[in-house]
Amino acid sequence: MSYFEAQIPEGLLASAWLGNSVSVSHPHMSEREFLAKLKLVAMRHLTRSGCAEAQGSFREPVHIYDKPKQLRYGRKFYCVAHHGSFLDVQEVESSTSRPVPQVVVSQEAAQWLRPPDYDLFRLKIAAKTDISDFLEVVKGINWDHKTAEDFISGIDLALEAGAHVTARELAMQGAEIHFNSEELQKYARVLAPPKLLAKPRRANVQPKANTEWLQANRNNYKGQWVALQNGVFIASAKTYKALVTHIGDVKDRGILITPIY
Amino acid sequence: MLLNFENGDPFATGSASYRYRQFRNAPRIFIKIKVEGEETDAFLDTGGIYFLCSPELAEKVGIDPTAALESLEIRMTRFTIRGVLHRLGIELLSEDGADYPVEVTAFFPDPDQAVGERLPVSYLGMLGCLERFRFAIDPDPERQRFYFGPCP
Repeated sequence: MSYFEAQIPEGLLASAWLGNSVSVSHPHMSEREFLAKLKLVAMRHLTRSGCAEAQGSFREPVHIYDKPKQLRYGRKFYCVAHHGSFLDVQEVESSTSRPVPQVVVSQEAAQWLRPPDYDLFRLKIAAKTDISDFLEVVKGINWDHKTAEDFISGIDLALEAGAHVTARELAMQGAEIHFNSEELQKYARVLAPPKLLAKPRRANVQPKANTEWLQANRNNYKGQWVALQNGVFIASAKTYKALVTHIGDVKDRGILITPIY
Repeated sequence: MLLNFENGDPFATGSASYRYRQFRNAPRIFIKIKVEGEETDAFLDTGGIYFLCSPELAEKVGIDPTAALESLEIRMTRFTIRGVLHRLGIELLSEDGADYPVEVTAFFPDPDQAVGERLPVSYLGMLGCLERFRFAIDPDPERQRFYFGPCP
């Protein structure tokens, strides 16, 4: 399979064919997270370049160099920055075993090199991969020290990922911490659990009186529907509809309507 | 007869008949509700989220754009739909007992999408909507009753 160069959405150049026995270590990501990131980037590239037959499979071994971390395919070298972003590396002319790559940091990669964005960066990647990855990343972030804007970004990403319960939890937590943030208060208001607007009125009902009447009189009304109000018989009929038609609207009147078998 | 717990506390404070009819590839339970004064049908979707407002109802009700969240996409079974989340008052209508007014999280589809045919009625989802109700179904064909009450 030929190599095709492609620009991926984050502005980073990357292409990798990963062998099954790739093992990488990373100071800030677990191996699983890091491999997931590599595979996501590679799959996007494969899809865009039309290499349909290669989707879902990773062939060709990849060579990993220890310091700095590099992936090599053909004559191109790619550096992996400490946070997992690929830095694009110019093609090396020489095909000797120890070439000297020129490192060019793309604007997007440079932005992610700032440590405070790292949590959000991970969250953004996880929101596009798998919801369980996303939930794991959310859980691992210390939200107590995040800004209102971070909370809002996190909530938007949670909604995008389909993690609606998490979105609500973040909204509630964020609104409690940042009580001055109008935007965050709005998120909390919209995503809050449903709220009863008025206490449902219920007419005075005496279920015990009704139960006593039924126990005493059920044999006389077997197979029929009866209407009772606080232990007092009102009417009976062969069907529910006939009974309701006879006694009228029962709403808020505390009338028990029940069949007797 | 409304439903009670063993100790006499109410499980349901209202009940109403429902219609069980085919909607797309499955039969659904339809009940009558009121939304900002507009009476309409909606079906129970315990696997769904929010109150999904049909475009027709959304147009009648209207929303305050400043009170809505940023636009997002929700995945339905066979299509995705873009819209905004907004707070909304709905009322479960009772034929026996009390109506149940509640403020829920509602999803309003963006009007520029042609989803009217795909979303001809509104859905009552669990998260953000039904989760504050206790509810039960009596599927007896003679009754077909939907019982509901507040969940504290």
